[in-house]
Amino acid sequence: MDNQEIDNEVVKYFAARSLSEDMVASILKQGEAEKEKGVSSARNWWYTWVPVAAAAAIVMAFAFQAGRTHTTSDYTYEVAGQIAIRHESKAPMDVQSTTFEGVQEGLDRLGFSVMPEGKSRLLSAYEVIGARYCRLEGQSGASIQVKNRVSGAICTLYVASLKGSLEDLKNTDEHLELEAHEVDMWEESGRLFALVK
Amino acid sequence: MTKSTHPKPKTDAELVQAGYRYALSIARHHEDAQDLVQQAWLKLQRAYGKVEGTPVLFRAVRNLFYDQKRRSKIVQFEPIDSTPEPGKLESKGVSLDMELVMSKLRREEREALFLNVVEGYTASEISEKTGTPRGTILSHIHRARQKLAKALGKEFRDTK
Repeated sequence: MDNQEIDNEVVKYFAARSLSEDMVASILKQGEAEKEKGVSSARNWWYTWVPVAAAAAIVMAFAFQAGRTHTTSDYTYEVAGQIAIRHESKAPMDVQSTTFEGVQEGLDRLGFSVMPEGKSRLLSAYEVIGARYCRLEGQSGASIQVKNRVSGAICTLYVASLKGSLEDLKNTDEHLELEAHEVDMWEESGRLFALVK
Repeated sequence: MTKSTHPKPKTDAELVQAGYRYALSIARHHEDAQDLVQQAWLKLQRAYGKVEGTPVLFRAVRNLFYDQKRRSKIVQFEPIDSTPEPGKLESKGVSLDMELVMSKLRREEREALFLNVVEGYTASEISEKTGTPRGTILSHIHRARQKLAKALGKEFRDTK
């Protein structure tokens, strides 16, 4: 029995296992409802939280003075989610390079530096492969493909200028656990960096 | 690296089925696999408003499976009726032999075999998805094929 014969048996085995049409339809229908919940909660959250936001502003001002703490905002998660989707899109690279300098030279329309200055311990685990232009929240950005030196996993280091609505992410320094990705997001010299794994 | 040739599901329904079959490769039981793909699908819809493709869905299923496994403090016993009934499975085109031998594979072997043989991912791509070294993935696939051939009472000839 050779590989092909075994593989044929495996394909047949899994092909014969499937969910019923009713179950699939039910999952898809529930998925639509969940999607709506996600959209409406993002749209209407402030109705509920206006009086709380006022009190929170006072508390946060006090906390800033006492030693600042902050909670990760919905917007941070939303931006992280959008970057994760761009990571999964696997669009072709505009420039192939193994260095940040090469990426900078290749993406000459960018208008800002993609060179990270901090997080050297985190980024030392990755090597650059290439990059492409990208846009996020109306701002130009660079989607840099990097490879984990140990596991070989392909990840994305996203860099954008902190302008427009992205200004809300000033002083961000978060590790986010999304449903299907982990994202390290931080601000550095007016730029947003996000490493998607 | 060999270019991946895995077929991309065209519809959401096909995506759900692909997710179910992947869940089955790691969870083994129909009910667990059904729960996993359902939960993963709903979480992705709520978080992103869409499910982009099998890579995202498979990763969500996998993360859910291992999260639940870590949190579970109850020993899971095999349900009494888990032994497949010959007539039932063979009517769906699944031989009892295959059902029994697939159940004897280790989870990692079943997962690697499914991703490589059914979904068409290369060993490098599977390594990236699972965080397991490529060499280990190749070993899983080779051992799975050996076990299947042996259990089916045939001599295995590795032709790759």
